[in-house]
Amino acid sequence: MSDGLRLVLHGVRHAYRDLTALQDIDLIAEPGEVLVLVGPSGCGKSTLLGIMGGLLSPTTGSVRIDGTIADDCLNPLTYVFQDFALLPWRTVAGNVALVLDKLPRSERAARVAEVLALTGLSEFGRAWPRQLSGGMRQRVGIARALAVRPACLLMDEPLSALDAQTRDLLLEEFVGLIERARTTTVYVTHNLAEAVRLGQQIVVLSRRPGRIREVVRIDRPLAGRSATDRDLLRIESELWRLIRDDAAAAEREMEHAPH
Amino acid sequence: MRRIDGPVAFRGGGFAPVERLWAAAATLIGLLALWQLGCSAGVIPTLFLPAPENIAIELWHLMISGELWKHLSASLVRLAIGWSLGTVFGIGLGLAVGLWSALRSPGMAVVSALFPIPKIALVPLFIIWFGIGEGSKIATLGFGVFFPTVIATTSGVDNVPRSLIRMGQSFGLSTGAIVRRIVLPGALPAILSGFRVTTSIAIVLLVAAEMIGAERGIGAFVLSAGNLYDTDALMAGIVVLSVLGLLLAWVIGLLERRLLGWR
Repeated sequence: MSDGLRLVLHGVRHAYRDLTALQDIDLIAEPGEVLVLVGPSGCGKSTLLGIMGGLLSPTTGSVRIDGTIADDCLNPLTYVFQDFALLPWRTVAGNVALVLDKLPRSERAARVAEVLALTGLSEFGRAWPRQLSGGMRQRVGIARALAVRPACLLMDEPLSALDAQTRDLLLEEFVGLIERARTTTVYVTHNLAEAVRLGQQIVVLSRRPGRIREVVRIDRPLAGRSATDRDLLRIESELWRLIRDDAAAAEREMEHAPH
Repeated sequence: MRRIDGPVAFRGGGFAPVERLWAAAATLIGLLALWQLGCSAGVIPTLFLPAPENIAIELWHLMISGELWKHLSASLVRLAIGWSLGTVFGIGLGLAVGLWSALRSPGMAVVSALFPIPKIALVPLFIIWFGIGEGSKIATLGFGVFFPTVIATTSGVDNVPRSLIRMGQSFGLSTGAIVRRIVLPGALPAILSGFRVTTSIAIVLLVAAEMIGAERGIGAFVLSAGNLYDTDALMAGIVVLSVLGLLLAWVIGLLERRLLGWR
């Protein structure tokens, strides 16, 4: 098991031609911490996650990682995608095995079996993604991410494509998985209930160009948190107060954007 | 204002055609029966359009004399080599054009400029370049197959969701692994659809090329039968080409079922 990675962003700015998406982003995700990014639509949450994971290059500024990782870690910074990003032509087991190229065949099979068991998918190894529900598909996405023994999980709205009941069930499973693995986790969401359930450091971004508007810390173990906890509900309303005006303005901006 | 009262009329359904094998077979058999009846009754002059019965007898004679195999084997060899060359190079360039900016515009410019040229018009040029023998015929087929394959492959690559490629990159897969495991399988449905088009094009070009300066081959056989007013043999050659087309379509269907079972 790794001690986790520290992710340090310094002076990050990102622009698409003339359009600045992110500005003056300085933040640190400590080893083993769950950092949640929230903000109005279009504020650059997913762009920031892309920059953290090396899928996008910042226009200026830097992203650094430091820490120790386990010997069996195959991909220190590992994504979980909103749309699951499963290959429809590979079975569930095949999708997980895809990212284990570097392992010998026997070890690969053992690791696939292990993560499928961990995510409750042992019975579905030979199923095709199209045969699974949305929740099950995201479990495959999680299994694939866990298979590479990540030191840092980057989760891009992993529950937003799912129905409310599946979302609640999977959220509880995330809590268990994150606590057991103690990986550094960056979690993007627009759902504030998810943010307070999971976040130890909640970073609120302003509307475009996204800047850090507020950082809220919750120093309570994830296991003891519940959806009806008064303190958490208070923090949730505080987050909504911070975001509401920006969210409304972002909505109006989208309505008036040329189609 | 007006009042309505009554059951809700069904407005759904349709727009979902179902394949019925028996209907396809019945249509073909029905047409053949009509044709035979027309010839037997003297409505269709058999000098211009021989009866199916006579074509079948001619085919049988061609088979037992070995004449059919002599021509068919020559055609099949040309078809296999020409189609394979056009397909392999077409998929290669299609992947390159679909994946790399440096090749995108130059590749598409060349393809767009050369694709509309009727390939039959190039046969005399290929004869000058490669001689009257096999080279010119295979080049005609390969050239004709190459461009549609490039277009089908490029469009297949373009349709692979970029999120899947980003997923591969995020897990540190090499470029080769991304091409082999994500891009190529993702583009396969379009490539196999392209095969349906290119096999038909290949048969057309095969016959055209064999009609110019070939002694063996179904095209040469049909031309020679036409010159001799031997319509039974001519139609037998055409039936062989039709069966060849059907067989190739069946093989591609098998490939689709095997490789695209996940759909």
